[in-house]
Amino acid sequence: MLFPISPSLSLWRRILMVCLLLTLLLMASVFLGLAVGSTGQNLHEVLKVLFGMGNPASTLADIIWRIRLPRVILAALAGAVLSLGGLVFQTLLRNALAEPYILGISGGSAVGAIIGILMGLSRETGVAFCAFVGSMVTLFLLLMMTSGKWTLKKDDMILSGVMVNAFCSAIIMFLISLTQDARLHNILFWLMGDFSMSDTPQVLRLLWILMPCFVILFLLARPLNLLLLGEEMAAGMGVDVRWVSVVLLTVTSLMVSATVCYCGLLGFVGLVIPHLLRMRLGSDHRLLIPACMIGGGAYLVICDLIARTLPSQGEMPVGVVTAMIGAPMFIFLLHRSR
Amino acid sequence: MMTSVLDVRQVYLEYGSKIALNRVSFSVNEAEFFIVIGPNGSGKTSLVKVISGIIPLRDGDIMLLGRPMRQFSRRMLARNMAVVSQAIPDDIPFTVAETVLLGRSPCLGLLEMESRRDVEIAEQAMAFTHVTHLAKRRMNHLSGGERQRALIARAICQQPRILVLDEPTASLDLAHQIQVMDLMEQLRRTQGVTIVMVSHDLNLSAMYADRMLLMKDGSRVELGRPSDVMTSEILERIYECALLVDENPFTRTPRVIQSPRQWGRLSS
Repeated sequence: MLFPISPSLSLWRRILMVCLLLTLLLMASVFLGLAVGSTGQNLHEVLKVLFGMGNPASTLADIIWRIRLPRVILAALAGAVLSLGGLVFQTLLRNALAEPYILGISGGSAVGAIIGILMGLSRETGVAFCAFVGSMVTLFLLLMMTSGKWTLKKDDMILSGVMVNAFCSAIIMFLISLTQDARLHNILFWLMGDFSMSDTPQVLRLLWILMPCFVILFLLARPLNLLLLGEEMAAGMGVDVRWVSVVLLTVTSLMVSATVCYCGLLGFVGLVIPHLLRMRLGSDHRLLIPACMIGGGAYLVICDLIARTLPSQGEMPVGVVTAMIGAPMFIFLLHRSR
Repeated sequence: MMTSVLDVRQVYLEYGSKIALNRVSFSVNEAEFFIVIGPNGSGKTSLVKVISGIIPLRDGDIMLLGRPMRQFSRRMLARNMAVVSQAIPDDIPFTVAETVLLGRSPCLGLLEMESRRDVEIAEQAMAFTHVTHLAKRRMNHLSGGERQRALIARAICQQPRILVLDEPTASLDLAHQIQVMDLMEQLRRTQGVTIVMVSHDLNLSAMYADRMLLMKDGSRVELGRPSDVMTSEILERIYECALLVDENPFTRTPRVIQSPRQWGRLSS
């Protein structure tokens, strides 16, 4: 008999194909991200630098390797983390509106970051540290509040998360209303997501934190699939639902917090990329997890490129671009898929 | 003597202050069709959850295939017992084929992909429950009967020794109820799978059950053949409503008929 699920037999092949395609897209966007900028529009010069044939001491080489490269990598990492976070939360909380920030991580880290900015701490370590502490505190509180007997109380969690975010927004507004000087600009950019302060050591540090998280999530792809059948059926098929939920929640929150504290509250990526990819690829997490990582990365690199090249002077927060392109695109695809 | 595959001993469970299972004991024989009945809130679903390891066993003992259930890991348990539970999300985003194939998960390693053999097992399970033609349809586009058959195929795909089902015929029409029950009977007869089922449908249960367990308020009330358990005295006492028990003309098994309150013997 010709089996109707042959696609899943060749799942490895499908994963490879999809990843290859998305990687090409990512590489193209990284290339553009490195090549295009406010200086050195001469493509020939840029190519020479990129392929190591130019003068390594030139200003252009310096800009590309020291400024643009860390920025592009940070954008790719952030896109990967936020898409992956959205994917995991959408499955875990069984809610189509779930995104990485829904449990209050954003509120917590924003309050932390703004306090950091107001205290005049350095952007790279001080503010990032404050943001991270803020998000960890909210995550911990949330887990304490909502751990049930053998599962997590999903609705309670979402509601608590929304409340935490609302409370934090109030604090943020309060802090903003007290601020008038240049720090206000910093705060606003942080809130909307911003890659302009990235540098190489910071990106490397982030990479070290994220790699184990990516591996853990990929290993939990099958339990995530089973969770889609409902917690009881998952438990009946050998999944320790409580343990898996807590691990997923912690790992995801950790990696989102670590990312957010470097680049601010990039909105929308985490909501839309998992949905877009699910529409095209189905719901198997063994395929979706790598696809979200690579696809989300590419998307954010492109958005960042637009954010810093579109305005004739300076740049705009990348969060503006993610939603401005993403929302119409999402609505269009949603309509077409119906 | 028949061998018991499932031996439940003095199982006790409480939610807060409410006792859900009050020292329930019984054993189920190999390849038996065993049906648990009882009024709403009698602890049937709790019993299923404890037996299938969804709720951890705290008080009492369960022997599964001669070994204490506490010694089974979740995955080991899932290789011997499959569950079709009642709480199933109605927005499962997989196709029927994908869902059925998920039944192989307990037998697969962390990164192991389904082999050709796994796919064959899934094919057979789908053929068994007549859902092969639906393979590429998405679960949320199926009718109630099709969905239930797909989920049962998923359970069969686990190749369990024991199949536990929580009200699999609820919300199905007459034809589909019989279809599901026939599938279970066929599975029991041809493959020796032990069926443990919770049901609200007494008449349907009486036609298929080898033995029935009647529960109320978390306790075992009666255990025995349908003709012993389903007498009007016992059922009126347990369900607290007026009813009449006669004989199903097809199967000679007991048949229950409710009576409206104004005709009832217990009307108060």
